[in-house]
Parts: sequence; structure tokens; C-alpha cells
Amino acid sequence: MASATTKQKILDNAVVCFNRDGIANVRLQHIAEEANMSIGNMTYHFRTKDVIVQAVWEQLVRRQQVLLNEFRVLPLFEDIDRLLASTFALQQEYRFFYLDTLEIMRSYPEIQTAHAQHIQWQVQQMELAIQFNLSRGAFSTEAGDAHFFHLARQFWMTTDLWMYRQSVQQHPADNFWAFRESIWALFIPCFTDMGLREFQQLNALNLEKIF
Amino acid sequence: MKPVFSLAPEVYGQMLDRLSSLFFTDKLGFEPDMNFYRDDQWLSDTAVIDQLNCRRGTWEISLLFAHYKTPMKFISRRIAANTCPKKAGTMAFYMRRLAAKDQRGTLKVDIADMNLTMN
Amino acid sequence: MNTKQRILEAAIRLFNVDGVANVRLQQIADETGISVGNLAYHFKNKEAIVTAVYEMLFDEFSQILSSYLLGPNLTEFDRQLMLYHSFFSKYRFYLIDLFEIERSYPAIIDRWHQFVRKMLMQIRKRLDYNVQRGILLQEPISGIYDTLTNNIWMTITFWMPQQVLKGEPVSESLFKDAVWAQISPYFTLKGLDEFAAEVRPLDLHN
Repeated sequence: MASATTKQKILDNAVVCFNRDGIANVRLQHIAEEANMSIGNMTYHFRTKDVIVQAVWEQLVRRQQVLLNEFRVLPLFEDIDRLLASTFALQQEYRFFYLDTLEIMRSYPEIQTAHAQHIQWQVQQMELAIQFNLSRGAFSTEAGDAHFFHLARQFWMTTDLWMYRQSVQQHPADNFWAFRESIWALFIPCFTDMGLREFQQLNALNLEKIF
Repeated sequence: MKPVFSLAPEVYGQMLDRLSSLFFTDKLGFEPDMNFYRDDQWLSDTAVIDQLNCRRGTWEISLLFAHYKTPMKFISRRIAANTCPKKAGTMAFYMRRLAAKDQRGTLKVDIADMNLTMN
Repeated sequence: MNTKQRILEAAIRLFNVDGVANVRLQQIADETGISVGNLAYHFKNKEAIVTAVYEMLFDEFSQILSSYLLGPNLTEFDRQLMLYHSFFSKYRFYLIDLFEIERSYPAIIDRWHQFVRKMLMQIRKRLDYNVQRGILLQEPISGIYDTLTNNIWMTITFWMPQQVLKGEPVSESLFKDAVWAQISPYFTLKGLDEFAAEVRPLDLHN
């Protein structure tokens, strides 16, 4: 038990270091200092930096899986909103990963292969959620299958690349409402009347939450 | 080479707007657009005489174009004006020469073309 | 192609594989097939090479932006997409090395931001023009065309590295499909006709 919590402590501090300095600049020494333990102790649990990076990534993926598993049970609009909120929070927590995804993937090819599969799984879940909304009449089938094919992929591309693109455009990366707006804009053209009404109700609810 | 000139974003946007509107107006023309040319083409087959009128202190030069085949089809156009009558006369002379199809005046107008009724 | 050009092309190839930070002058010299001394004659140091590569990049980017002059119609946009595809394909390293560049070459980042602003402006104006022409619907919800502009820009810029991340192909037609898929929900009937007649039938993805 002690081992598990120590491991978690190391990983948490690793994330802090990565977020602060960028994954490339962090050494085992830094993580050990941050976690207030000796290097020897730390390497007992995680032999190299690569092992730590792998573990952190697995942690992130597991949390995303939990979110998506909750989501796909009944993906109504308010569930989509909740998914967006929790995904955004997760991104802020693992900032270093989202700001530097492409570089990380280049440096850790095993993670890249696994991550590719993870993304495919995410796309499938979103496709199912879209199907659900089509059959319950919230989305209109007018647009055609090809459109929904792209929509599922655009959803993840927009979500995953949000922080990256904000930084490329020199906009703040912590503005949740801009993030939410960008994602909903992908869905809005597919709404039926029922969908539009539900979306407007959702917006009204959200405004209440802010004030 | 670093660019020394940079455009403000709003200006760039306006420039793009103008370019886009060019594509609205810069379209291929239609047949009826050329009617103005066809309608006035008879003017190239005319005999021209000049006329001077003193109006409001200036000498106005008018050219009178009459079609050589159907002289009843004619038009008078005010071309230019000059305060000095002599200058106006010279201007009229040269303008007539320029406008006329047949400068040397060998075009003949046949009385039969006039088609007058002698009732 | 003279030696300088060959050096730059080799540098671009290496940057794409290993990243700007990791490439050494020796590697560039080897890839070009010349000695390091010869390389030093043309480019004083790595910084000079990186700056020169970015000059090439911005030059090509300017040309793509100028192709807006050909027209804001759908066909010309399709053509511009083709140019964007080969541009982002050739200079793959740019996006990946963004933060490295930001740290060491801030002037380059400034110029890049200018280009990004112009790119966004062009996309926005294309949308406006096509609304005027009756090809696209009027904004169904206020402000959505701004978001659409951003999403289109994002697709154009990031689609390729994202595909590589997922282990999926990066062909030009898939790229164009992804971009048009963003715009097609907003076509009017006239727009759909023009798109089908002049650009491609809508359901091309296989």
C-alpha cells in the first residue's frame, strides 16, 4: 500500500515538473527534489525517466477512458457538456502533454503507437454517441454519413489540439467558454429543431451557473 | 529579408473585401451590353459639317452628322467651346476633319436619297 | 539547384525527421553530401541555416496567401487547399518544433503570427463572399462563422500531424475532404450544386 501511494506521489510531482519546465528539460533529480525524496528511493519505483513518462501517460489515458465510459452510457447534450468540462479540466492538469503532444510522440514512439490506438477508440465512442443522437432525433440525417464520419474525428482533433492552437494563435489557453463554443460549433449545423431547443435550454442553464 | 512594410489586420481585411467585390463586378459581359456600340455605328458612315454658335459669351462648336445614304438621319452634337471666334473656327475645322469619314469630301449625297415628297 | 539550395533542402528533410533542436551541422553536411567546412562556407552556423529555412518557408507561405487573388470562389479555394497541403507536408517540423522555435528564435514566431492572422482573415472573407453570392447560408447563430473560421484554420494547419499521430494516411484528397466537411453543412442548394459541379461530388470519402 505504501508503495502504491509513493508511486502516485512520484507521478504527481513528475506532472508538476513537466508542466513547469517542459518534459524535455526535466531530469530525475528535479522530480526527486520536488517529491522530497532521494533519487535512490525514486529509482527503486521508476528506473528511468522514460518509465515515468510512460506511467504518466497511462494515467492520463485511464482517466480519459473513465470519462468516456461514463459519457457513452447516455450521451445527451448535457452529458456532452459535462464531458467537455471534465476533458478541459484534465487538459489543464496535464498541460505539458497537450502543449507538446507532437514533440512527445516523436520522442517516445512506443507511446505514439499506443496513443494512436487510444485515439481510434475515442473516435469510435464519439461515433456511437453521434449515432445515438441521430436516432433520438437531436441530429438531422440530412448531412449524410460522410459528414458524421468527419464530425467524430473533428471532435477529437479540436479537443486534443485546443491548447496547442491557442498557443500558436497567442490566445489564452484557459478560457473554457471559448473551448466549449468551438466544439459546439461543430455540432450546431446538424441540429434538428428539437436539438436546437435542447441546446438553447442548455445554454440558458449554463448562463445561470456563471452568475 | 525582413519585410519593412506591414499591413494592419483591419486594412488587410478591407483589401480582401475589395478583391472579393471585384469578382462580383468583373464578370463576363452580356450580348446586350454591346448594344450602345451597335446603335451608334451608323455615325461612322456620315458626312460631317461644323457649326459655330455664339451662346453665353462663348462660341460653341457643334458637329452635325448626317448619314450619307439617308440624310434625314442626322444628329447634332456640341463638342467644345472657345471664347475667341477665330480659334473656335480653327478648332471646328480640324474637328470636322477628324470626325468625318471622308475628309476630302468626295462622298456624294444623291437627291434621290432624300426621298422628299413634293406634295 | 546550387549548393546553398541543396543544403537547405537537406536541412528541411532532417528537421522533419529529428526536430530542429536535435539536428547537428555534421548531419546536414552528410545529408547534402559535402564536408562540414564547405557547409560553414555557405552558412556560418546552425542559426543561419534555421533562419534561411524559415525564409524559404515564409516565402512559400506568402505565395499561397497571394493565390487568394485568383478568386474567392469554391474552385479556387480547393486549389489553395492543395497548395496548403503540400506546404504543410513539406514543412512538417514547424508545428512540432513550435516551442523550441519560440524559445530560440522569437522573431520567427512574430512573423508566423502575422501569417496566421492573414490566413484567418482570408478564410473569414471567403465565407463572407460566398454568403453574399448565395453559396453559403447566412450565419444561423450569431458568431458561428468566427468559430467556423477558426475550426477551418485548425483543420488546415493541424490535420496532417494529427493523422500521423493516429497512424492514418495523409493524402491530399483526405485532407481536402476534412476541410470541406467543415464547410458543407452551411451550403445553400445553389452552393451544393456548384460544389458538386465544380469541385467534387460531396460523398467522396471511401
